[in-house]
Amino acid sequence: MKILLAEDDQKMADYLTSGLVESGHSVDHVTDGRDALSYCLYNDCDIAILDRMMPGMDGLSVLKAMRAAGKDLPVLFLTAMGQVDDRVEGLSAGGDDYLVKPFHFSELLARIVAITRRQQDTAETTALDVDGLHLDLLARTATRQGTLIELHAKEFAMLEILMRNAGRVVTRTMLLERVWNFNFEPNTTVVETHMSRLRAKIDKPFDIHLIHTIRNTGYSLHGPR
Amino acid sequence: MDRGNVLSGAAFTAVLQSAVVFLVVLITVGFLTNSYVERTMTGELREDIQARWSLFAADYRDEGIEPLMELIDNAASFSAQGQRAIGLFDADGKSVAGNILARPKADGWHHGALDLVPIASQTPADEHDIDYFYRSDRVDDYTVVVGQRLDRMFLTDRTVFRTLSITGFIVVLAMLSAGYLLSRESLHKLERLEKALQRVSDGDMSARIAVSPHNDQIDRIAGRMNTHLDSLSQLMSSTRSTAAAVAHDLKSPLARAYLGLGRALAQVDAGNDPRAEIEDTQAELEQMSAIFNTFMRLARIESGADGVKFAKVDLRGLVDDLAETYQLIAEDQGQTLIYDRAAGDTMTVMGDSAMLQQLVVNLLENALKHGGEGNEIRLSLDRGAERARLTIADRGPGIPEAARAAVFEPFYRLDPSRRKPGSGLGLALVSAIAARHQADITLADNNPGLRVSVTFSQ
Repeated sequence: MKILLAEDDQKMADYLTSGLVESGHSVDHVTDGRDALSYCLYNDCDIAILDRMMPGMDGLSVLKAMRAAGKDLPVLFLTAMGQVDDRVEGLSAGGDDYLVKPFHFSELLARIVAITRRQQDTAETTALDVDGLHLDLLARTATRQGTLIELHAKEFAMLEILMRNAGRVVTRTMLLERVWNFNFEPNTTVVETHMSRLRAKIDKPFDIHLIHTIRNTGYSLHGPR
Repeated sequence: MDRGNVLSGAAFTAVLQSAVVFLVVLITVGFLTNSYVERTMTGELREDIQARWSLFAADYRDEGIEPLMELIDNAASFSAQGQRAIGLFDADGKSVAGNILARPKADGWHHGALDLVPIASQTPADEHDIDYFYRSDRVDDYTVVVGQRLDRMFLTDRTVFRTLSITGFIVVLAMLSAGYLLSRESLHKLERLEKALQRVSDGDMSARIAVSPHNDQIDRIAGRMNTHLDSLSQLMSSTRSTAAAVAHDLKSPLARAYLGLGRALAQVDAGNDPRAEIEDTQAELEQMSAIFNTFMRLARIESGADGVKFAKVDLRGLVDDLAETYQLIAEDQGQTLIYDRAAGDTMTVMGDSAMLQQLVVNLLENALKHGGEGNEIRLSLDRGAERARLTIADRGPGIPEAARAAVFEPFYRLDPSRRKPGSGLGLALVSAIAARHQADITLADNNPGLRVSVTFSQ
């Protein structure tokens, strides 16, 4: 994937660039908001990672100008921590995702993949299928190998996100945001508790486990590889 | 003290203005009085002169010229110091009797000098300056002149003028000095105020402005400023202690992270896998970041700078959702969460759903954390007196009454050894969110345990 990284902190940019390159992406790095905008307007890339605070032009203005010019390139914002409402502002301005510094690199990687996949996922999906696990989004039922599985609302929502991202990593924070709509980190193991319940229902009675824990990052749902 | 500052003071300026007004009034009144007195006196004099003139005319008609001449000479000789001027002139204008030497040029009433027989005690120069008010008219071929010296009137005039001037001078002087003193006093007060503010801006937050018992305008402002300084210094000291607490709470994970990285390096040097040490370090840094995040969130909510616009929030739906989630978590930890809410219509409050979510979660997590195994948490949502009320009660150790206000302070911990994990910001955040929503929080004893009630204003 081709990634534009607009970040004025040189050290941060170096870490991110080498990490992304190691993960098989190609990265173009700019340090100024205006450079980021002109890059997006005249070059093709798959995703732009914009720092909120940059010299020249801030990330939000770059995004607005880009959207005004008709570019629907996926955008992921990076921001200094604590700016809770900036998240809302960034998303409502047409950003696709938001990551508060400091963050784990694996979190960034998971989100980049999720955003670019979401863009391709245009058709209205009514059912999801992974390795014999079937999720009917209209009837809101789950069946595995013909067995109907009773799921709570939160469990269903978690499973849907995992299956839509089958084979890719879904982080704990992504689940908190999308299933519980939390924009803060609870102290208790909300995700872990629900995940173990979900596993007990969809994995435990069957030989093959579909939900895999990715250490320090999150979860991934896929069949045997 | 700079005299220019005193003279430009409000009190002095006001006095100066009133002094000018006073002088204008005084001059006008003086002028009016003077002309009134003059008019009255002239009227009296005229009547007097007229009466005497008529007397001489009547004498002439009754007795003839000889007795009149005698009468006039007589009268003239009685006139002391030339106060009265009396003269009789024949048709040629020659003086035939009296003390006037020359006949006035025109007949009728006049104001002016008269040529009188010199009096021994007076120098001629004096006489020339003396004005007379006189009537000169003909009786047959003779001319009778009767006049009165005006110096008495001048004297009266001068007395009035002098009295008014002296009074005016004294009053204006008194006013200006009073104004100066008042102005100096208020300048003193303003200087004290300025000095106190200077000390405050130099960093001495204990400086206060002296307030006099007169309670004038400056004193009232000084009182206000003192109140303001009180709350400001309180705010500053709480900010300082918060900053100290932040530093303290961040130092421990920082120190552990530091050690962790050192240990990781040592592992690498020994040819071992440093993964475990690095992960420990990561966890410490995550904890630091979480404290930072929470603290900044708290600061933004408290300052109202979070840019959140309030909307109608379905409180029942929000609490239903969280109750479902946390019932499972409680169960996992060997606790029970009983959610009970009144049936009926939805319960909406004006607010921000993300903040309200955090409020409920923090309270639930506190109940879970302090309750321990076998704890029974009761979560209820009801409506009392048209106000939505959320109650969370646990069976934990509770909070002693004396500490109930302090637990809402950032970084306050009931357990000073800080054995239980947490930032000490949970209740501070709850309190800030409640304040933003104009909701009241009360802590009560659940016998045993803690009962927290949040009552919303709508």
